[in-house]
Amino acid sequence: MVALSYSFVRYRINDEVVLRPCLKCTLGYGSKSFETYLLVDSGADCSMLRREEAIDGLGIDVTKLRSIGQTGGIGGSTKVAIVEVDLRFGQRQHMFEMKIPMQVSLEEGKDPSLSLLGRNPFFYKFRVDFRMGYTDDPTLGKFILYPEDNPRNAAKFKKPPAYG
Amino acid sequence: MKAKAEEVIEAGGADHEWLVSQNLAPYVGKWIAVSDRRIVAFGPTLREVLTRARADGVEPLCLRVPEGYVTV
Repeated sequence: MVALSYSFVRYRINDEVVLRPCLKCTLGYGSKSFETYLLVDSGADCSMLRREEAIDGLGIDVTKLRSIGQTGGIGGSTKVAIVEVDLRFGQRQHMFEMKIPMQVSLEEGKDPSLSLLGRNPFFYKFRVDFRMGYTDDPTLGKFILYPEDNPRNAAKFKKPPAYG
Repeated sequence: MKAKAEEVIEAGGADHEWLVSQNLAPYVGKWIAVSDRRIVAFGPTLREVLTRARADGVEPLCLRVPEGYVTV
């Protein structure tokens, strides 16, 4: 099994270096694609694509998307639609490709500051190891993606009671 | 039987490794387009930097440098 290691992207904020786990990837939709970053966000339930990237990067007409409901975050809530985006990342012979449903805000000015890869479905496919302290220099750090290519037999595990 | 050792590869590539070593402060609030370890375009919109880079025959790596505040 091959795991993929990435250096964190460093942002200088208020004289402090903030490390963010940003996955270098190619996003595609139909015939359009571009190479960019998605924040790997274990705190987000699902993935979200900023409107600008949907419109200018992937040529999606967001006015034609149908609302599936509201999504909330620290900045408030917004009406969202879902688009299925082609996600491609990796290195040379170790490339991974998958379709990822991503939410897009249907309201202007309600985007997250970065497009993000939330838990569903990405974390079902990859185990993510955030290593911010692997050296004694706090401005260095890396995160590693391990493919979940050998899931255990669920019958051997106790399932929590279902929610109503 | 022992589990097979995992091979970990550095997957970011040259442009990513170059980018993470740069000071992005001058580009806060902007998009930057990177190719061959240099910034080939920057501007306020993704459309602008993609158009400029592609006009030069480059398919760049694009990054938005968000406004300078920490997020939760």
